[in-house]
Amino acid sequence: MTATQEQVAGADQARVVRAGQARVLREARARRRVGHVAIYVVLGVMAALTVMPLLYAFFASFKPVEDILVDGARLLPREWTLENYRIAWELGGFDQYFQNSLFVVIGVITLDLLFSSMLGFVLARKLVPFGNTIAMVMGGSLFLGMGTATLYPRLVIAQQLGIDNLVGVVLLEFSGMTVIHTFLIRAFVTTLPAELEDAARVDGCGIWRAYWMIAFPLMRPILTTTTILAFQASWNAFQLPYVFTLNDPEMRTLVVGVYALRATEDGSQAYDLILAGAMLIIVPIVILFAFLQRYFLRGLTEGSVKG
Amino acid sequence: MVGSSVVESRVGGGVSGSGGSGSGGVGGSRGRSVSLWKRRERGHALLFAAPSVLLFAAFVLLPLLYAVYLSFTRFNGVVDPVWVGLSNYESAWGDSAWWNSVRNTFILAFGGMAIEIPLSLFLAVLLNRALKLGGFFRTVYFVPHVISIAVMGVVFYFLLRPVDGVINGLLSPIGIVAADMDWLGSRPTALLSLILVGVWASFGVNTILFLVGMQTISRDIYEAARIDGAGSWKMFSRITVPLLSPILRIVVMLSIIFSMRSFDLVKTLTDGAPAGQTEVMFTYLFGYYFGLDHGAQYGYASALAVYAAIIVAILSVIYLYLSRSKDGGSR
Repeated sequence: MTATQEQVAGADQARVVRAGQARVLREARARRRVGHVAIYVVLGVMAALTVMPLLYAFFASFKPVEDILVDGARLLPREWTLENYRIAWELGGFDQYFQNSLFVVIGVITLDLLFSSMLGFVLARKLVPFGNTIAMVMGGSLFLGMGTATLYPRLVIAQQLGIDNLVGVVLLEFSGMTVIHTFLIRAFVTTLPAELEDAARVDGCGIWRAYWMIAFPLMRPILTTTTILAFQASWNAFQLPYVFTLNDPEMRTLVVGVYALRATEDGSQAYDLILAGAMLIIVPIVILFAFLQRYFLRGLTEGSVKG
Repeated sequence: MVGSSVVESRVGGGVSGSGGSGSGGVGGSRGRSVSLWKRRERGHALLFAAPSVLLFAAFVLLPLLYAVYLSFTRFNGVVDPVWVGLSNYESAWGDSAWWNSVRNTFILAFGGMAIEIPLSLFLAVLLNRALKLGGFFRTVYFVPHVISIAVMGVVFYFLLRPVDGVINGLLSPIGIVAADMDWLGSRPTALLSLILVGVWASFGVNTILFLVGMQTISRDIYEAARIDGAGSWKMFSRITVPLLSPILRIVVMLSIIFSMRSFDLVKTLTDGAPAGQTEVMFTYLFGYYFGLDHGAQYGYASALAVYAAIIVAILSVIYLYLSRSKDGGSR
């Protein structure tokens, strides 16, 4: 009898406790929902601040010239036109600039894929004498940050070699990035098993075939990363192509072409051409990023941890 | 030198060929045959290393030495360089415009960081809560990083136009700024603009680096702390920040070094305006190399470059020291 009373009391107590727990859970869930809304508001505001400058510039590039300079807060064009792009392309020289940019990008990527991976490979497998010294000197140069400081000497050397042109831009852009890329590749190759190359060696393969037939295909993950980094750096490069084309507008890349329009001495900036030209640079790489996000992110994390 | 290594490699090739056919499968000779192979292939290996190493030597090392040499000369690119000893360094020491540029560089570097690091940390904490749309926000924040900062400098120059500009058009109705606010017209607001555009360009990258770091922190630690009754601020300050400190250090030093080297944004957004008051180290010395105002004073520009390199190097060494000591601790 006391047992049943206790049982009833216990059940009551349990019910009260359960109700209490339910209330706590409900409140916690509500609090979390409020918290979630607040988080999304903050993240959303930052996302808006991030894309707004790009969107305004993007839509302004489709506005007629006379509308670009008035009513700044208006996002969408009153009247859509491709005239800015047509003028930039046909009269502004941007068709040439585009070709020049493509030349630089393709050149840099080709050199980088071959030369950085070759050096990274022989360093990783310790096939060259003084490999560690080479790596140390190269690594040390990263910390000097003499990019701008050595622009003039680099230009002079290029002039002496007769390559103060787009070929020089390709070679110099590449020489600036090969250190980091070589290190990334070297670190990756050391994680690859050497047995396959050993087998090739026993079969009488030379270093070239061990590299090209066996190691190179296995390097694909890291080479994807370095190629993305090379593309990003050479497509967006400003300083070096600017200096190399100071006296030769024909050789300007897209980025230099856009800056040249902003830097007019009389301050009569041609915003229609500037905006169209800027979009020719921004839109392709943003589209590429949309498709290859993973690789861009990998380039960032690997590049910055190493670099 | 190249010739001798080729000869050596041929001789080595003969030896390893005969050795390989006799005892290729015997385990004990593997090390020997590898080193023979390495010797035979050394000439080829050098050819492999040559392109990158030579380009590096020609366009990174040699220019460095040349710049240092020029810093001790007077040189205008026409008449041969004249050795002047330390006089360029002495003039630079008393060049107030130069030291103003150095000051601006530091203001931009540390001002940007003061906004960026807390902001990125905060966003990373929010994104670390496994939200449904977390991936979307991460992607959006990353976008500025893939775009040329030089082009964005020109784009922001357009957006910041004082009269009928986009940013004034958006801000002045809310009453934050005057309708004809000339952002790039005075030193404080021009520097502020440079800082904010810099933050726009790189907060996302830092957020993602922090996020990557936070995702390596075990959930169990937070769970244990929650059971012990720790609030979210306590968990952030006592767990997240300490465990994130290696990445935090890297991000802080990388942002300092990158801002010390900054050139593109300043050149394209303000170009030193107004009246050279927003020059940074590299835009200022760039003017002595290639500018129209100062003409070609390559010796003086090189001395400034050496000063700049020393300043960057000091900060870089601090970074190197910190990241080394971190490696040593974790091993």
